[in-house]
Amino acid sequence: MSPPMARSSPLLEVRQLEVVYNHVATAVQGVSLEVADRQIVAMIGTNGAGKTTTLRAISGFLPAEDVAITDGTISFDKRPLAGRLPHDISRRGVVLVPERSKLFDTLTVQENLHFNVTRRRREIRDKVFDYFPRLGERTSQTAGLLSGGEKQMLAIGMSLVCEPKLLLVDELSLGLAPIVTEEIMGILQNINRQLGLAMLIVEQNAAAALRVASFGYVLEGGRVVFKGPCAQLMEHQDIKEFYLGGAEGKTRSYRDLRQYARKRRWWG
Amino acid sequence: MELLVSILVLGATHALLAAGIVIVYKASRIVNFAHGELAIVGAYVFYSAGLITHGQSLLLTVLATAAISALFGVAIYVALMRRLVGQPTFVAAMVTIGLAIILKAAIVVFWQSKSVGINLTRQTLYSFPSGGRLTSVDVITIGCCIVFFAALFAFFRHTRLGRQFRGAAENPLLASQRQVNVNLILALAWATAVFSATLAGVLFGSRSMLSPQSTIIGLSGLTAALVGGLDSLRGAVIGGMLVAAATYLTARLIDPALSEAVPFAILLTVMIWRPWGIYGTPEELNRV
Repeated sequence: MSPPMARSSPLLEVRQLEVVYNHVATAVQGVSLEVADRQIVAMIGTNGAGKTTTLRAISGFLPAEDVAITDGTISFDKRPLAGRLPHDISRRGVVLVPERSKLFDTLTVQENLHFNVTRRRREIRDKVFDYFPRLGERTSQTAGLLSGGEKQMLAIGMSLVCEPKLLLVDELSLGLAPIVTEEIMGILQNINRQLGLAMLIVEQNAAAALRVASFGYVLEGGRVVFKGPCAQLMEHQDIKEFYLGGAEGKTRSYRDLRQYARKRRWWG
Repeated sequence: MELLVSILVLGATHALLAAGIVIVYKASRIVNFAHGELAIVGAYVFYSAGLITHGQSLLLTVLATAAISALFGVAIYVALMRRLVGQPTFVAAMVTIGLAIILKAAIVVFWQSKSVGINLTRQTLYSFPSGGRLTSVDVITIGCCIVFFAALFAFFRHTRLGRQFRGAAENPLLASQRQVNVNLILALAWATAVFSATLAGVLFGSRSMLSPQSTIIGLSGLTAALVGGLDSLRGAVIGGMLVAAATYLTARLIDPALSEAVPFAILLTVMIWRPWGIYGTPEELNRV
């Protein structure tokens, strides 16, 4: 399989990434991936596949966290990112929308959005209200009291104010109604088209992610087991069955599933 | 009236002390047990700065002390607290106790445990019919407290750095992911805390004599902060006033000997009734 958009060097390039928690638990072992400029890339996989850890490694760890990148490289715009602090990475244009605690719950919507609004960035803030008009109606509300969908919108809005060149979105669909997920995914796609903002979307909800992305990676047990253009992935027999649900014909038994897992391990 | 003024003056000092403890706690979840020592050392520095300028320029003395205290706060963060990242908070609390001992020793070494008084202008502005007096120091104390808290509230409410401070206090990782250098915020917290401690120490020293034993005022500050809620600035004011009122009223109406114990009685009561303090957030509490 050819790398995505091979014609120019990618915006984000992760090579053989290995991340270890507490010096013992390896969460990601040898993940390589690329995101090209203006591209939406999806990373799908089940719980514990290493998706969030990969994103967190790209966006940086705080010294207080007991986790470390033990191998591999991460480069953004041809500059190495691994080992830098989150605020530094974020200033370079790689901005994460985390899975949990993505807002300052005790601050109001307005204060969250204005968290690092400078004079120059006021325009972007106005644009956020264009993309998410619902936020405009709730400016003085405490962020912790927003609905799940609104929280996600505000989190994306906050990230946009950081002037990202690459947006990392972790598990956007978590706890959201399918229709809301679809709405927000649509808005992300819009933002991608209008601003040319590259995105790396991590999802358990594979169908939703593959629909908006152009290239996809499938993670299992901390390794990439499939990659390819999304159209191709969506047609893949195993992905259809285990990630998109309901392949044609019979559903396989638990034994098949175990066999599948074993096969995966060998391939990885 | 006279009673009220006395309570306000004492309460203002307590509130200033509590504010410093609250700011550090909010930003880093560290209870600073060296706050009283910082206050008294700050007051001694002010006294020495006054000697150096020969009492000629009060403004210069104030500015120099403010700068030294803020820098000292940053130094404490950089030299001690930043190294404790990832450690349990009680380790940091232990470090502040160590810092307190060192500071107390510093008073002995640098100032030979001298009892000194800070001589701000002490004019009687008004004599109460009942015999008490309102002095300029009283007015300065209350004024400083009001200005300090007003500035602090405005800073947190209306400035970008203030928002970032509140955000970093709530969720440092997210703040960092949103381009805020959390180290700077914490250094700022310590600078503000040591500055406010110094302010409280100087105001205290201008009404009573300074000595190594004066560091006990840190305990009143801590009591005020705990009563008001360790993570609430509003609580620091209310807690400070409450403790001051209780201390003063007991001393006046019942028995001065008892007044030392009263703050702790209040503390116990509040801890049983609302362990997180009057204005504190229940979730903030690390369970015992």
